Amino acid sequence: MRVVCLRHLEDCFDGTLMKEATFDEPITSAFIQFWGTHGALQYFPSFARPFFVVDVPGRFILKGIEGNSTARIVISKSNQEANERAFCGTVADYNKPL
Amino acid sequence: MIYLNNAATSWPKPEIVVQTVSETARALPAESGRSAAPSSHDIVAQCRRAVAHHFCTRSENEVIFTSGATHALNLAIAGYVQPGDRVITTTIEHNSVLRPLRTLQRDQGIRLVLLPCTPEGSIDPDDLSRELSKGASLVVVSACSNVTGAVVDIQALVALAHQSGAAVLIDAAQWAGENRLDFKELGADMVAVAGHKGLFGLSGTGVLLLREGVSLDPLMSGGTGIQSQNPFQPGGRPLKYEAGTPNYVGIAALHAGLTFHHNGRPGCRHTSRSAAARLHEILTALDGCTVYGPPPGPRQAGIVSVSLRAMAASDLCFLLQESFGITSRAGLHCAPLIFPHIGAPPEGTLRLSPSAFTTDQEIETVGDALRQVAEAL
Repeated sequence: MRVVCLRHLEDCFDGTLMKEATFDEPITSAFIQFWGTHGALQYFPSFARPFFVVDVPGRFILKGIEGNSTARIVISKSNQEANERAFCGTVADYNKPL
Repeated sequence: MIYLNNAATSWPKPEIVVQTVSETARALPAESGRSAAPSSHDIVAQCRRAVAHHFCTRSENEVIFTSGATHALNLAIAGYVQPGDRVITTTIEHNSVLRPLRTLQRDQGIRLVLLPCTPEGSIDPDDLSRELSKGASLVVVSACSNVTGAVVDIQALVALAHQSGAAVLIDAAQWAGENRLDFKELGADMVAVAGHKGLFGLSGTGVLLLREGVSLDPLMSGGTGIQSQNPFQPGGRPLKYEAGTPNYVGIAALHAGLTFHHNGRPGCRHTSRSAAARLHEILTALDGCTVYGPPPGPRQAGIVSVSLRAMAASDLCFLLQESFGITSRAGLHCAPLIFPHIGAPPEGTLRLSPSAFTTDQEIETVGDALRQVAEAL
């Protein structure tokens, strides 16, 4: 899986910025659970459209809906580039051929 | 989709408003002074009459059209306050009050006093009394909190301010509509009204009710349609404050929104207050849910602000939108100073604001959604 686009949505007063991440395939339950190994995951699979939010401390917060091809990411402006690289790299690690 | 963000802007609009927008956009523009059309077709004059009637002004000259409540507040504040003045406002105010005042504080050296608010988000008249005793030229206060829905006893505050010789500007952006506002009886010097919220008009419309005898420096100069040889902005009302071509479509829509109210809001079974009251009842029973502001009743204007244990308001807002199709709003709601006073998280609350169009079924659906989320946490 990979991130095909990171689109700026808004600058937040608390020193973060919000972006919309577009993936090359829809978000699956397995992809969501994969994030549980990288941060604090809240996942609600019982909802009609299952929601998740994962907090990777000091780097970013990712939230989205299972089945969508986009998710929102809140990134700290300090070390923004490194944090974005970390996010894209983690996504690329998912289902990476061994 | 369920829309509970009416405190930001109302939706849906009544059919009469939608039809009026379409008809006005198709019709020839007609305003006395800017065309030869008969005055009976003068959209602006007709709406001014309707606004004057709705808010019980002394005359139509007390009605100034603006581009919104923000414009009305800026006109009132910048036009009234003089360098060095002492101005009293409150911690429940919207940035459309706070920012113009802070700009004057920075640029013109006005002395700005911020009254604290009660844990419900209202204002204690005793706090105002104390500050008025030190002198003030102007008091600026909201009729109700746009965060908690707490109603402010503006009648009492106006009386106190006038006893001390201070003028009063009321921000009625969240109040005007279902809630009664009698400008003459209230006695305030200025009241700012949004056209696109409770009055069901379009964004881009608002009104400043300006008591006769109160004079402001205008924010803008420009065309007025008449007195074109006058090198300066004409001094009479309303032209002094209404430079430029009016927003004909928006003003016609505002008139239609007022007509909708006067016709008893056909098609609406409830009020925003009754819908919010049911929401309040459901949410206070949820484990882990904190509801801010006063309980349903005369002290509550129909806005419900909540936080849910272990989930940020912004996440909850996103979740409601994406998983349940419920539109709400999260954050500070442009009123950043109120949150420490009401015991809410610094990142803000989730705000649910119904309108008269909100149905019983929609409220129950929202309650079920939040119950599911609360139980899942």
